[in-house]
Amino acid sequence: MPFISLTEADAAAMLGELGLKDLDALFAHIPADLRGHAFALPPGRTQLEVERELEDLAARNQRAAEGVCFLGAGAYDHHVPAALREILRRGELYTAYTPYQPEIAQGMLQALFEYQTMVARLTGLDVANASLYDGATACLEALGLAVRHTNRTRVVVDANLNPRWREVIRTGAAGMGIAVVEVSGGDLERGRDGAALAAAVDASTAALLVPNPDFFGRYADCKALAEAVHARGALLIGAAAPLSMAIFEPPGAMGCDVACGEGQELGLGLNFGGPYLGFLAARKELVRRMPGRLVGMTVDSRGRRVFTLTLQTREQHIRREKATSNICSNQSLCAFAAGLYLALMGREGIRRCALACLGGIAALRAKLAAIPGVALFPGVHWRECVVRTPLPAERLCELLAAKGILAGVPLAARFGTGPWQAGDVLVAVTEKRTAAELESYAAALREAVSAAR
Amino acid sequence: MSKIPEELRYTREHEWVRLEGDVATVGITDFAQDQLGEVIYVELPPAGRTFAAGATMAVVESVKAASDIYAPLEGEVLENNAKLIEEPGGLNRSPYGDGWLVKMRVANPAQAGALLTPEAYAAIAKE
Amino acid sequence: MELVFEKHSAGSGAANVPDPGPAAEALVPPELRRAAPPALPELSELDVVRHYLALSRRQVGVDSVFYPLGSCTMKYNPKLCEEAARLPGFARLHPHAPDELCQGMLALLWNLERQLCEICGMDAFTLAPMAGAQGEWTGLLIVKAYHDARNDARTEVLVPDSAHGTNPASAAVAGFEVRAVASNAEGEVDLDALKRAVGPKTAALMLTNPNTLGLFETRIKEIAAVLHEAGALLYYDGANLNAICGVARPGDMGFDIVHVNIHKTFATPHGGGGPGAGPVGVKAHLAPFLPAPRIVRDGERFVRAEAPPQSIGRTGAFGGNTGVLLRAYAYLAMLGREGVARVARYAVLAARYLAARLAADFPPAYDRPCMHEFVAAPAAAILKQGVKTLDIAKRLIDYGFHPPTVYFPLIVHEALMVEPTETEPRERLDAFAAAMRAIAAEALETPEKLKAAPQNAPVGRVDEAKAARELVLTYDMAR
Repeated sequence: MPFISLTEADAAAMLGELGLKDLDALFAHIPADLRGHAFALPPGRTQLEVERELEDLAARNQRAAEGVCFLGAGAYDHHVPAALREILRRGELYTAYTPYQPEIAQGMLQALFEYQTMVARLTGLDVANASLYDGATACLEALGLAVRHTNRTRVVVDANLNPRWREVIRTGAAGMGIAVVEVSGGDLERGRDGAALAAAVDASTAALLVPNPDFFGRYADCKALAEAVHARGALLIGAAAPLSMAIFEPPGAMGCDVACGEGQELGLGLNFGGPYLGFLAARKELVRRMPGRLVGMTVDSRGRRVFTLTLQTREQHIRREKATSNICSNQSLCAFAAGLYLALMGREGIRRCALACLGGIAALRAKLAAIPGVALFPGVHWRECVVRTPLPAERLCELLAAKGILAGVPLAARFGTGPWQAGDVLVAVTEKRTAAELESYAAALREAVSAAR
Repeated sequence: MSKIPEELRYTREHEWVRLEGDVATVGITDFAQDQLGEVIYVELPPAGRTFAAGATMAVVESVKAASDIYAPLEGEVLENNAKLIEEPGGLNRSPYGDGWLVKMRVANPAQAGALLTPEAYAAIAKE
Repeated sequence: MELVFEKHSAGSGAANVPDPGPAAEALVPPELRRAAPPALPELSELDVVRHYLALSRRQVGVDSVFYPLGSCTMKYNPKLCEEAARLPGFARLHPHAPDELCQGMLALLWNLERQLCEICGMDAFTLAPMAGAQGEWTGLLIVKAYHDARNDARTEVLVPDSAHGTNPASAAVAGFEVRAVASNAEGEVDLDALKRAVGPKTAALMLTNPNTLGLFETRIKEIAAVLHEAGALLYYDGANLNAICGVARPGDMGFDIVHVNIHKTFATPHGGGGPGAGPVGVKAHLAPFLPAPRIVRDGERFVRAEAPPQSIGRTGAFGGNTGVLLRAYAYLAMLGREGVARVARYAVLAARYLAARLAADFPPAYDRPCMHEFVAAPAAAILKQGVKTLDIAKRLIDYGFHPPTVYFPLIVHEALMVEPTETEPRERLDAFAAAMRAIAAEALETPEKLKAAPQNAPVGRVDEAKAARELVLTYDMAR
């Protein structure tokens, strides 16, 4: 029997000891009419058969999995070091539950403590939690944190935040008593502009949430915004890409009180959208309002340095309806992997990686700018930018997909209306893209565009 | 058996009240601190905040539990116990003395009649 | 043990990426340039591997020991499922890849939805929620959307006093007021108390069945009727689905919404606290409110559809923890109809058997047949020695077992909650019972042994109060 270690003989003996005649007698107290269903499920199969089916299913995704990937918009094709994949296969780690018994969970606890430290150092803030679900929910939780801290309910969100993340915020805000106002932090043509954001923050505002880079890959200095926000007693929340912080001024240094975002780029791979990693870091003063688990340092009975979950009185299992969040299971193994990634890459590794993303998108833009009919937009771009061609964006993507290139995300088709047009594609370049791949991309795009003219 | 001083008044939520004129000093009982275990954090309202009777005004936390503290009477906070914020363990050592939480100006001292007598509270703490 | 920050060795991850040269550096405008690089470790790959292997030796999982953690369903995580998630055709798939190019993945997810519908007795499922608590939140937003669509503003969610903390917490973040309903002397929902609590303000009752005491709510159909007659919905918390999987279905009991914990019932690993997955199933009348994306079958083709107009919106950036979901698909494919039918039967047998073996020293909190788990407490003689449930848990570590859940549910004094699951052999159950018996004897004769436990763990008893009192959450706060 698959994965059941009790033999028929064991079961018979155990039932005998309990004075029951068969397995169904275990359920005698459940009303009989609730137990009659004949489950219409496929018959069980051997491991070998299932393995073959899974390989067949995986093969049907082959063109997408093997295409040269310029897709981004919230998930990025970064390299995953071999040592990371290897260590994540350790059964002691991935088959453990939440470390409620710290004496036999020091491995996960210490790794999460190290992760918290690395995130704090990356973001330039004091403390980080042990993970949230993804970048989108991390933003929502960050807004909740600000609302609890300030006792205000209005928040301003830059409309240039990832549209999916804004959808998640809209989905959850009302229930959490948050009133969301979306304000554009600058259009495509003129670039980022914080003036409208600053103007939208008033004395009733709990927080301003600003992305860096924004959805279109553009980086901006937020120091002036921070001053304006703080002058009105609100918090500045930076939704930031962790790898970019290796070379760009991090949220903490720009005056953000909270940083949050998506950690997928830290060695988690693509996995069709999850599991990913929401990270959240903040100034020390906000720690008791923070959502999610926290690992702290302490000592054991022999005075040795050890780690344990702490400040659990913020959490649902103790505080119930008054908890800072309802989160219980989080993305621990993903946080573990992100810490491991940062340890494997080191400060020089992630510096190079971040620079490769910066240089890569710049190199592609230089090539595309030379193609008649292609429009690009101003700004300091990191890893990603919008490319406008005269072709409908989806058509362009189809043409390039036929050549084994996943050209980018067609904005209008994927996200509906926005500050983009029908021909706009969001294109991402990670450290994995070679000069030759950029060249092929430009050549394929030139061909597609000129054929259409 | 936990201590229940004769001169104080109590609430069902295990708070004690010492009323002097229209000024009430509020804390949690010996029984409550014992149930909570080692107190590691208290969050107290600043002077000037006003509360309706029964409104949540403070939080007392141990490692494994967190307890909301409700305003026993309507009033305005005059002072919170800053020393306790620094050193929450004081609440365990001296719940009726150094471990007080807030002093408040009571809107209507006559309402104090609704608070529990030591005998009535002792019956609740025994449950 | 040293922290990764305290280790230094020649070399670093620099070797993983080519040096982009000074030209790239010049692309960062000076006002945006990071002043000093983040202080990340600089270790050789070998030393990183050794560090993390040393960490793994200070950790136990289901792969190392019997892990009867109540309410968590720590069953064996089949290894084919791990391999499945790592197939490049799944692992390297970008979530924004066009639907036509990921038909294998979409077909798998669509089929998983159908199987979850069949197992739970529901009409439609969303795979988007990323954990059980997120499933609860999603389900409650659906409850809200349903009532709002009927212009029937309902503000209260009822939860039993025995409920898991996520229930009231999820109800609160979904914008509801929470009202607790008392349990009766048999450990079930007190039907009279429920009738008194239900009214025109009631949006839903959240219920785990069997409940968190491991007891089946035998009057579930009456409970459902009370809710439905009042115009409210009945929500099934799937935390304990393993107790009925393949035997009975929430949908047949009258539940309108369920969430399932994929990482419990469907054997995906818990990852040291996550990631899990918390798909939500609904009856047909609630399907229009499900979040995006919806996986739709169009002939032989599968597409991700945007949310219908009444949808609650979106609960995450993409379609959920796909990597976890496809492990569950592989598990169900191997189990099939016959395997699914055995899950609850053997899980309940193991729990019933173990409960009986422990009863003398750890009497059950309720004298009723348990389902897949049971709640017990140390006998009075043990407690009289000043021994706490926590001491027993720590002593179990010395005997080579992961302790059960302790101090939950909150309504049982000194609770021990044991869930053996269907995947352990009888010898292991017997060995656990023997260890518990030995510990009970120690509690009477040498209680100090329990107070000093654990002795055979990588570290001694951890001072959790100090951690909360002197908050050190990063290495830099320690210095």
